[in-house]
Amino acid sequence: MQILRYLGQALWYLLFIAFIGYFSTSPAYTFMEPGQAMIKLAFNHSGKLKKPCREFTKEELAAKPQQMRIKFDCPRERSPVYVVLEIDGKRVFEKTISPSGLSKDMPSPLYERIPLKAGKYQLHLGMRDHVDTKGYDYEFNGPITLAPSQILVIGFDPDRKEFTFQ
Amino acid sequence: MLKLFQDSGHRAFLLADRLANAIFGTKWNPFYYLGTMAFFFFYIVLISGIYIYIFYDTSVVDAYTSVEYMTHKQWYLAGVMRSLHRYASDAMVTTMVLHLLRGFFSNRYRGARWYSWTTGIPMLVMVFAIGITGYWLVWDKLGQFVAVRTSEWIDWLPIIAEPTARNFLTNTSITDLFFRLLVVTHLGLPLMLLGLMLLHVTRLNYARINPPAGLAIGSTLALLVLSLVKPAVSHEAADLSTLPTQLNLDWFYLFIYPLMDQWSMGAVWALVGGGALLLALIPWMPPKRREPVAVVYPDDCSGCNLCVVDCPYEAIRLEKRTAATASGRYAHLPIAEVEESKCVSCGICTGSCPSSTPFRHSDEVSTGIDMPHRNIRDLHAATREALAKLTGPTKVLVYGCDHGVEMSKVMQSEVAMISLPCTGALPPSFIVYALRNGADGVFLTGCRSGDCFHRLGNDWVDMRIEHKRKPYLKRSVPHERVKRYWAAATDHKQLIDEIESFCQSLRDLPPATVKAKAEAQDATTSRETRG
Ligand code: HEM
Repeated sequence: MQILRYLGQALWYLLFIAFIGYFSTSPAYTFMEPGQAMIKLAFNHSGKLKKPCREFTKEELAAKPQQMRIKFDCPRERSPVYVVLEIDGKRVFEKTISPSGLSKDMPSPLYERIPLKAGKYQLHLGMRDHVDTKGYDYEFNGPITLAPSQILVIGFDPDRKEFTFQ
Repeated sequence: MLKLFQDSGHRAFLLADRLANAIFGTKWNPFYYLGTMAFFFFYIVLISGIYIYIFYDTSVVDAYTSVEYMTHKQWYLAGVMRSLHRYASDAMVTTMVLHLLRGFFSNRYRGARWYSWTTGIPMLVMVFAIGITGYWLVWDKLGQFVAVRTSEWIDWLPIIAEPTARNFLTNTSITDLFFRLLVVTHLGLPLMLLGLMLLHVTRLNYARINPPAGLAIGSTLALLVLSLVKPAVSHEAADLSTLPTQLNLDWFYLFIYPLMDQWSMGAVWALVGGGALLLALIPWMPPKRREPVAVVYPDDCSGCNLCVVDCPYEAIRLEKRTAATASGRYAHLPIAEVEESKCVSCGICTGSCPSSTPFRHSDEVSTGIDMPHRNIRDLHAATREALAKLTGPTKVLVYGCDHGVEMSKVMQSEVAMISLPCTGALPPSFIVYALRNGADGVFLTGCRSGDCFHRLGNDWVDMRIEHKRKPYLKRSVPHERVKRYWAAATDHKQLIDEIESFCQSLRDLPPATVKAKAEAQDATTSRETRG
């Protein structure tokens, strides 16, 4: 009887470690098929100021207390940023991103994953960072090749005012 | 609906318990030690974690290679420790979830138990957070997957202006500083968890935080075998310029990640946040029934401390008497005081009170501490009534509890039954009383051994009868006239058989001598029951 108990316990522990051992790695999960690739559109871009600075009128200045009489009124609010991505002529992403911050004076954050099959594509990227712009302030047109499993990070360099590809 | 769900779950546990009891015995049944085993696996996680931390390099570039070193170069120790660290964590989450389910199905989370339940929720969240950050630290393809998807999940919340996922765009965008922050989180959270774990059991008297040696040795050996047979290994090194493809997920910790791909991030937030909130609110959901709590009777409380040490929920303590309570023969002694918010109304205190004696006139039966809604006078009256009903050739009085077999299911001509909130609420003197007043035998039942609804009731009964815990059953009571059979609600068939065989064994005894012997020795041993 006691021997049966010991056998039972051995079997119990065996099942226990089989359960733990199996589910600690299995079943395997396919996050992305091997032939898959991905574009990540990711940057923080500050839109231009929504309204330009303007000089206060004399009346406006007079209405202000002495120590607050500065010459210009510069609203801090920035324009939303509008981004478009077309691949082989098809629009795959389009978004108007509001500036962050309570006064909407901070950059517009963008982080977008666009899964694609590996291969060659014709890319068109457009970005507008002022509400009054017709068309795009910045644009890219060109071919790209995505290797299997490759992640292509598309950013924006504000100094060179162009899109970056990493 | 909820009740049906709970009942089915409870039955499933009782069925599993029966199997485990057959294999391990009630003293080692792993299902009775689920919280305890979670503690134990946590110790293994801590010890193995400290060891592998010695080898772990906290920089982004070298983290992966340092883990590879452990697994392949020092496989016999660091590698085994790494595997133990992983598998003990998996075992911890398994036992923790079963512990939660068991508490839920058996309805052990309402009333004063809300405290253990509610402190359990942040522990649950923390255990997952620790596991997830652990996988992140390996900085292999799985770590990369977990890092990126977690940050994308967090970024879904509108509170975050700058997407945290941008930290993982390229291999150069992740900084050592960020990585070290993660290491600190993975080391700091377990310490906080340990604090919470201790808090979790503070309101439980004699909380079982260390498993029986047999279970501890068995589980450790089992995990060791697993570590040697299937050592924990890494995926390829993380590379943020390529996608993770096929991943060997640890489903114990990472099951929400596939959901992020299947559902929206918002839906996963709803599941996690809503789930945690729902769990946290469960103790306050209907049906709400809070029974009256124990009341102390100053004239009969001698401040003996027995109820204090027997209360499973640390709801009683001794205090100095005030002017209002300084009366009666014990006026100079301390007095028990019940902390209402901790009392679960089990009545075990009445069972432990040496003043609880039925050997008085009905109107005078009193005790030092009692349940107002089911008091000792009611028990006295019920006992007398039950004894009067016994007319068969053998007369057996059964004391059971509300959580074991339903008493109506074991009705027989030769037995009368009384149900208590917990069998631990039965003062041993009632056994003597029943035997002296017509019963040939007293049969005690209640939840299965090791699974008392009120944690300790049947343990105390066993010990009182075996003269290991005060108040003792009088030594003069012949042991063949008192039988215990601890049975779960589903065990009525076995219980009926046991009662029948008890009746049979009583029939074979010469009746008169026993009662006479019991009475004769009463006087000499009455002192034993007093604290
Ligand atoms: C790290 C995870 C956990 C550990 C190590 C742990 C450990 C324990 C231990 C050792 C006990 C005492 C058992 C006894 O002596 O009777 C206990 C009781 C309890 N635990 Fe946990 N626990 C954990 C998580 C949870 C969770 C997630 C919940 C539910 C949300 C929970 C709910 C409870 C309740 C309600 C009790 C009291 C049971 C009773 O009064 O009968 N625990 N826990």
